[in-house]
Amino acid sequence: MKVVYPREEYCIGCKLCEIHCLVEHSKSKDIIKAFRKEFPKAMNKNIVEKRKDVSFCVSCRHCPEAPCITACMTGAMHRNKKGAVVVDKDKCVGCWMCIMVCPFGVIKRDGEKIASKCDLCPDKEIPVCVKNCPNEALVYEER
Amino acid sequence: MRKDKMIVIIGNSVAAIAAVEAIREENAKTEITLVSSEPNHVYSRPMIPGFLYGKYDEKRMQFRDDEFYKRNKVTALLGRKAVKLDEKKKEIFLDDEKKLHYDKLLIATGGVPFIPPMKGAENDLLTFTTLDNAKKLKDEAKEKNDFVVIGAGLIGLKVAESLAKMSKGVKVVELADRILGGIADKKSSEMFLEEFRKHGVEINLKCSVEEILRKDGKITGVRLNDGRTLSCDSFVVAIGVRPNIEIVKGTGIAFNKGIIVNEMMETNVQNIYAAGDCVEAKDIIANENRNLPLWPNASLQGKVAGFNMAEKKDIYPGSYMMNSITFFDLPMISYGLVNAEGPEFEILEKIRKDDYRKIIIRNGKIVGAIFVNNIDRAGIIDGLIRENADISEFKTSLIDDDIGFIVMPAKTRKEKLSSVQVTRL
Ligand SMILES: Cc1cc2nc3c(=O)[nH]c(=O)nc-3n(C[C@H](O)[C@H](O)[C@H](O)COP(=O)(O)OP(=O)(O)OC[C@H]3O[C@@H](n4cnc5c(N)ncnc54)[C@H](O)[C@@H]3O)c2cc1C
Repeated sequence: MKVVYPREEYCIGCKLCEIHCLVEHSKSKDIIKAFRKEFPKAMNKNIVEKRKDVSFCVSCRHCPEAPCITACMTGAMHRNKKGAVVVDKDKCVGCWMCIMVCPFGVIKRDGEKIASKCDLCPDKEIPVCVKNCPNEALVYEER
Repeated sequence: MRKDKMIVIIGNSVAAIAAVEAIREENAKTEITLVSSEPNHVYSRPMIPGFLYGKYDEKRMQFRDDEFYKRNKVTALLGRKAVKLDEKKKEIFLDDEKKLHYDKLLIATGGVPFIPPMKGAENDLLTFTTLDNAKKLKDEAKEKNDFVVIGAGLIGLKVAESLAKMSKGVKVVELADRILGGIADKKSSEMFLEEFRKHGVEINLKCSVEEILRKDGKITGVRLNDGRTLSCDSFVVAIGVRPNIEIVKGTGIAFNKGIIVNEMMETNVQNIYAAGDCVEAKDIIANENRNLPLWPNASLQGKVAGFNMAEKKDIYPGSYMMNSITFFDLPMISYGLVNAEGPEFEILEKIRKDDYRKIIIRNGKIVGAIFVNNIDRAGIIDGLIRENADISEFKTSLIDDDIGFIVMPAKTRKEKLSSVQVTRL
């Protein structure tokens, strides 16, 4: 299955991937509204790690045997038809078992109450982080 | 001769459900019959504290949809207890005197609450491990306002928290000198103690209940071993659970505290498997088989058992003590040997006002960790523990705020970030 992988040698740490991710997961999908007018503000699902001149973006690997699904105690964490591991917001109770077992550390707390993670942009052919990276430091491929 | 094999599963919680899903992933035909002493559809046991104070209803607690049994072609006998096992004839006897034949059996009977001997104890003692228990307590709380909870472990404190949220008076009695002894170290348990006291919960340490005091049959208080009495009109026993192994007693199935299984989750009797809170399975930190009654472990064990029962060989990689809990607004994730002490352990700590992190290292490997309040990215530690990774090179960065792959040597980091999956659980 295709997922997003970083190529740190091309990453300049501009965080455009984070910005586009946030906008794509906002209500309006409009950059100004998403950042200035929506409350609670949407969250980016990916994480840019940066120290000195090394940087790269980490996001969910949608593991074939996802630890977060195994550990989920509500059935909220599941695989959708496309194969992406996603959260059912109505079921999640914020117990953070998924955060406890995600070896990539890419599940976040949304407004402190619900698990928030990469859904591979269900409405898009290519996830927006990959599409908008100016350097091709993110690739969407099957390995 | 029957054309399809018959699988019987005793239990209807996470281990059983994970097994059903694994079996069906491999085999659409095998007949599956599931027996459960509880009458309910699958429900999430860790959610009963939320049910108690009204945060979740029964529907919300269902961790699989209404169609689960139908879709997976499972004959579910709910509200039926398995009372006897004849492993020679391959038969299970139910409490309605019905008898089930199996070719393969999974025992996923979970745990039962442990009740200490106390004077004045009658059969009105409330425990807190099932939805039915939660319903009883909820009813009780309609009339009663003053509760004593015995046990300041995870379950006891969850009950105490829920009762406090219902504006009940709560007094907790704990034998140890601090709360959450199994999953928290001294510092983190103090943080939670503070949290409970802030919310008006009285916590009594280093004492135990000797006698339940009654007047005209009604509970009026408890007498402690230090001579004090605490008044109350109801009380809950929640000192812990032990493996529910009733069904294997008197059979040839080997057990210690829990049922003994191999890495395929098979017992010493061929074609009988066991998974979840009722077993002793591999602990990768202690390096021995142990009962680790935790949801994620039960889930993975059930799945491994299911695959093996469907004749797809699978190995349980092992697990260890870990937990993710929140009391009031304070979350904590803890892993492994949180209370390790001694010259062989190296301890890294970062303490801030509301934030605490600790990493425990032995021979260059992480053997324990605690994250209080800021729990983000904690799972990276779980991955490193499960991989038995040598972290000597970057250990001090593990308590930095920007914990991540960035702190790892380039080679390790690139390997991890370019792989599809790094650990199974
Ligand atoms: C209040 C509470 C909070 C918890 N919080 C956490 C947490 O935060 N994190 C965590 O990891 N774990 C937590 N747990 C533990 C977690 O719920 C268990 O690890 C998990 O439920 C184990 O699943 P299991 O399938 O092994 O068995 P169980 O959930 O114990 O279920 C056993 C099943 O077997 C059936 N059964 C038993 N005997 C028979 C019989 N003779 N015949 C027929 N059926 C039988 C029962 O009806 C039940 O369906 C909590 C538990 C409680 C009670």
